[in-house]
Amino acid sequence: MWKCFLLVAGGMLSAAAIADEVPASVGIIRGVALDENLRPLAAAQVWAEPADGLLRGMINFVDSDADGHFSIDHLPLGTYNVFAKKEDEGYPMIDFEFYRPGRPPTVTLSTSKPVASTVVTLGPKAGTLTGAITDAVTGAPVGAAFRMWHLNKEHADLSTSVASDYRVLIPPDVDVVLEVHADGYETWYYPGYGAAASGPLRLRPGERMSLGIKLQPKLPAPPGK
Amino acid sequence: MVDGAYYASSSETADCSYYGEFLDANQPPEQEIGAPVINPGGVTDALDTSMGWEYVDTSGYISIWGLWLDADKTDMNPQVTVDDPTHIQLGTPSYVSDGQINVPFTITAGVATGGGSPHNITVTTTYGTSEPPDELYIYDATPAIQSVSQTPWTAGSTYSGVTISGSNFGTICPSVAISGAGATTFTVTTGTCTNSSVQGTVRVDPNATGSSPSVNATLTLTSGGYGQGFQSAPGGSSQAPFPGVEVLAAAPTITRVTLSPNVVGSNGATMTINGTGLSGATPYLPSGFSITKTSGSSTQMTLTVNIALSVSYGTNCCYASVQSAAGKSSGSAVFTVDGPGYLVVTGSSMGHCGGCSTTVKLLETYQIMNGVSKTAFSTTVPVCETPVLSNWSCSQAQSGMTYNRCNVNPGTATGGAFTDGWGLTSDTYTPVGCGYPTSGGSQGITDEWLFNPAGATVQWKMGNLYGYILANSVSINGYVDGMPVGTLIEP
Repeated sequence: MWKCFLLVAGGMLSAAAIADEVPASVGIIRGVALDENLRPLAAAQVWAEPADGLLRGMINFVDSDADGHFSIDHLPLGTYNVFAKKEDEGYPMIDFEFYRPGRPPTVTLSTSKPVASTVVTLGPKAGTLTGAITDAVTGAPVGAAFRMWHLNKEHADLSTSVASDYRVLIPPDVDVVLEVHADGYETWYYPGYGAAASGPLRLRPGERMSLGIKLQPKLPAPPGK
Repeated sequence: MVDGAYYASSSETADCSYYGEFLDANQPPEQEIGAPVINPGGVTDALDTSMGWEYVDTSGYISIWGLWLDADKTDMNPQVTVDDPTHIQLGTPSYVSDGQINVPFTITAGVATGGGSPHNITVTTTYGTSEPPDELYIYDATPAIQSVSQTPWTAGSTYSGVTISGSNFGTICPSVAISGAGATTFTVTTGTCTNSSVQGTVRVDPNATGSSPSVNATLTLTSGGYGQGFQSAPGGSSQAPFPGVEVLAAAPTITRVTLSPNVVGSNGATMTINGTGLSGATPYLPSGFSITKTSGSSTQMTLTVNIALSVSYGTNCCYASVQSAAGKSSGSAVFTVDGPGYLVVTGSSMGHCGGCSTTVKLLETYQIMNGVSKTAFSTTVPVCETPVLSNWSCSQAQSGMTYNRCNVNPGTATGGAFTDGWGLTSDTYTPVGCGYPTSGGSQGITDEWLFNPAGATVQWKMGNLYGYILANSVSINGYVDGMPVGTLIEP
């Protein structure tokens, strides 16, 4: 797989123009994925995104091996952020401010140095929130969207669509505001309906919490309103 | 020397003198005319004098051999009678010699037949009546087949109203057997039997020809006689063989084709072909199918197949046929192959990028779905896209565009799933809210995702996306915060 860079100073960027771009050369980012204890993390999904650029296209994940090593090949020369995740073990996507605040480190591939090495560290593990979202009246399952943000940093946020049986990762040791909304239902705030009851959710690293969420259907508007 | 007649044999020589008439040794001495005498066995067919019998349902002449049958040719007025004048009608004798007369006859069904039922023949002249009478035997003639209609026959077919024509079939319906064509049968149709034809239904064994393009069958008719069982003449037979009936191999047929699993990229899938004439047949499948194992019977063929990702697919997209060992081809039978048809959203995450206070990005995860069955397509396959980006509005030059181009660098959808990113990756771009906006009816981004199997002549459209990417907002297919799980993305 190889990719192309486009340098366009505004205006329209057409598919034809994209297709005409041929990379002068490509590079490789190699590295190792480690957990919070700096132990190799196998089977982590690793990828590179253009730093300071446009993210538009498939995320091409590569898996780390048993020693945590990975290699991302055929990258056009440029500067990248390298991310990783292993969500089934509680390591979320660290490319969002919500999970890992701050500018991510960069890796640069150049003509003189087309192969670069880096270390991607995951952890500590997130908390895991699981449960079912249902209609409070009928008990029917409801697909919904979670909007979550740090209590003290609203732009450290994440919106994610989930099915009725949900599983979301919560950054550890952070007060998180949790909002659940679905078409046709009143918005739900953790820990439940009623402003007085709303408050932040805080989980420890690796903590698991089961939470059933019952959404109240919106009442129909009165006639003539 | 004696006085009188001397009879000499042909080997003797005589040394004598005789002044009288020498008589032929074979001629009895002339004597007075008496009552007619029929030689023992002296009733024969006129044309075949070795045949001392006649057949039922025939006409002709018999010859009667003897003495004083018609010595003066006219005056004796010989009359020939038989004991069953109803069924054996004799005409006026015709003179041949004093020792032979020919008598026309007509023998009809109902006459007593067989070696145990001789018929007495008596000759009467003005000099008396032959005594004892001689015997005429009546038998059933050996049947013969002259033609069989509706030939050649095709294996596996049924023919009604097949007519066998010939002679001497009898008045009782004959039976008909067929050999050399497997279990092919001829069933006589009741009420169609005559002495010269019979009709019936032929059911030709589907495997009558085996692996040969054709075989020659022999049809054998067995006469049932004329009501007394078949009474065979000496050297005769009740059976009439008719060889050389051509039976052609049948073209195999296909009544149904099933394939499971029927999804492109499946290895070890089972295809079942139902039909006829499938034993030893060779199956033919579309390009991209490879057959690893074949088994079955004449009515069902089971194949183990690998289905390449590059196979063309869709409802009733594909055709199977078979060719028999005899080289006959079946018609084509349609079947369905499933494959990537559309996308469904299985996850959506949107938030500020790491280190960003104003810039957001969106990650959408899609599952490829089979277009026909609406089930998940779970094979790892190459996919590609054809993005068109418009209306760039930031002050800075845009950089970092990456995408997976069809037939060049397709991406990999592991297990049929992939994640698509939309957004900018830092707060570098200004003014706030710049990017690829939708403007003047022009989408900032349109993008089509395609299934891109290696070796395929076309890519298969799976889903169309449209929307905008701004530094602080992303919209895709009308959803600003990402699409709900379960949203369908169709071509």
